[in-house]
Amino acid sequence: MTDVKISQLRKSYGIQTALHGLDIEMESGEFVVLVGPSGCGKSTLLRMIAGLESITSGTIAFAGRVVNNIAAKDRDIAMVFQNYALYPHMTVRENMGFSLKLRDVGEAERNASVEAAAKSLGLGHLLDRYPRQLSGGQRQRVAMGRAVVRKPALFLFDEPLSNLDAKLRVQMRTEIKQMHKRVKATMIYVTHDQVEAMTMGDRIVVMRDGRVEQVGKPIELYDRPVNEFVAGFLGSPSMNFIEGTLGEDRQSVVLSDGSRVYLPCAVGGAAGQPVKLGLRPEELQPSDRGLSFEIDVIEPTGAETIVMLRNPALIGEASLCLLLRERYDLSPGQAITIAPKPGSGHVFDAESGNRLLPDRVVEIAKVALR
Amino acid sequence: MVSFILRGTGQRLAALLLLIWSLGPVYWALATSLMKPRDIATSPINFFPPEITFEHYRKLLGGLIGLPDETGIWYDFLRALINSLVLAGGATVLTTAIAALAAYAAVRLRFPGRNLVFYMIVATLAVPGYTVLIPLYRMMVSLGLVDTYSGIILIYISAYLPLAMWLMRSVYESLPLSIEEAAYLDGAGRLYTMIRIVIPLATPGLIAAAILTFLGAWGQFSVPLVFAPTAATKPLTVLIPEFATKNYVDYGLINAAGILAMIPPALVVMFLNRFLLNGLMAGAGK
Repeated sequence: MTDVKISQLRKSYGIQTALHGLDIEMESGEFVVLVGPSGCGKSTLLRMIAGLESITSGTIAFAGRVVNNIAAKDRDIAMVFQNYALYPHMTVRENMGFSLKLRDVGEAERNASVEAAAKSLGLGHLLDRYPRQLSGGQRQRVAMGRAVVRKPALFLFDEPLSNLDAKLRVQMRTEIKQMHKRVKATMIYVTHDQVEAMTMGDRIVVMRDGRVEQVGKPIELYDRPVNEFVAGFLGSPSMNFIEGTLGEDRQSVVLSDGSRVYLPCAVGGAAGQPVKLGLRPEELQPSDRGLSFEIDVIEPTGAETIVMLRNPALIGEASLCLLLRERYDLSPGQAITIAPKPGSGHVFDAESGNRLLPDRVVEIAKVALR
Repeated sequence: MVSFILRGTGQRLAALLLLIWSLGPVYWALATSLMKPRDIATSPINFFPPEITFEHYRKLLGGLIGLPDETGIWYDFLRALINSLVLAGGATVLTTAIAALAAYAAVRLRFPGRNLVFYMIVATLAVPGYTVLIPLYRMMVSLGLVDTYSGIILIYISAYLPLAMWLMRSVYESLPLSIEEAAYLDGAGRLYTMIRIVIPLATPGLIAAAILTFLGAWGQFSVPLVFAPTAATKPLTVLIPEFATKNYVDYGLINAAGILAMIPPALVVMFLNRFLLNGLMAGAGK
């Protein structure tokens, strides 16, 4: 277990800057997810933490000790790679025991550690197979096993689930979380999949273009995104944005067709300022009064129904997404009137994209578990 | 249907022609090596030995089984065979080893002029060997390396290293870097990773480089002709033509020696070929 402190970390390739002075602190034992679109620098950051990529300036410290000049092999880190990177000419046992062998751990002890790790990952019967004889999910487990066996202070995951099919991905997500609970080490997990980020992270670091956009607990980020980018990136289906201007009472947004959406509280900003109203698909509901749309496409998933709505006068060629948990009798082409649920709505400055609504006024009440 | 049959027949015909083209000379050498001298230069020619004789082989190998003939050719032949093996074997081992390391450096290490050095080495492939033979000879004389194993092996290395390096570079480039990175994070140093992870995975490439080098060095003629003037280093390729003298060309002997000279490279290829496994990398990734 170790805490990780990243200060003013920069990475440049010639004149191109990949990371612009990042500051991130990770607590010991924490599961931190780095998330962002491809090219945002999250993998570069992970590789710099691992010691596989040089540091242009700034520092990375583990437990208070700056590791900038410590070689990857001496950082006491285990990493699970996107393509697993198993040693193809070694059996599962040899793959998992490789690091222990390098540390001169005796054969008996090595075998015991490997077998214990293999058992916890359900690999016990595969120890004498070669990677080529395993399925994708099994290889993924071996890659995890190789990391666990070492009992490192820090685990790094570089998009480990992106090569698995959807069902296996969900299963492995849970297994990685269980592993985190079991080994209690600090883990840093890189993904471009916001669902993985939301479901797995104790805290999420949202990155874009080599900068940190927001750091926080998943629900905090979901409920109080600091800007339009974070708001749009987290959540699936993603947040709807409707352009408008801030009403003179600064507690409503006037849309392009003159209709007005009332906000739960007054927001900072000038009356008449161009803004974007952000509404999550599940924050909208059919209503007697509200915004009129035409139903374009209906996508029932069983548990919920995704409805795509059109209104060229209000949102141009874009669609507005509505997520319904209840079942309604709807058909494409039908007219529908919707309104935000009470207490919902995010307002962003149209130009900077920064959040104007200072806080979410109506906290979604948490139901206590009896 | 007709075109299908025609195509099948055409393919068979082409295969047959190719077979005659490549194996014909080998058969001719074998047939000649088994003929008595009086049956060799006849008209019409004999496609099959009218009478099989092993007298040429006896001349070449008899000394080994205690049946040396009066010419003493067997001793020269054996000496040249050993020379050929030492020269080709030495060149193969060293070229492959150097190429394995140098190509790795050219792919994975970062240093100024990395690509320049690599391309300069590979560019020497374009230099015709004959143009450098005379300057090279003067150089080797001044170094005292003419008629020595090390001198000739050095020349072979300089001749075959570029090809081997080129080959090895593409082999290394095809290996995923993440496997090596995984080894570093597991606590392995650069050299250990190279020996335990990279080389085993690059084995098919190394074998291919070794085969190419061995075959090239075994068949070399012009270099040993110049640099191996005495029996101390003279290989088979230079010895065998000497069986053709001013007064008499011993075709039977030349062909018998030729047939024997084909055996070692054939054995080397057959032996090494077993390690040219396909799909060695399977299972590393997704």
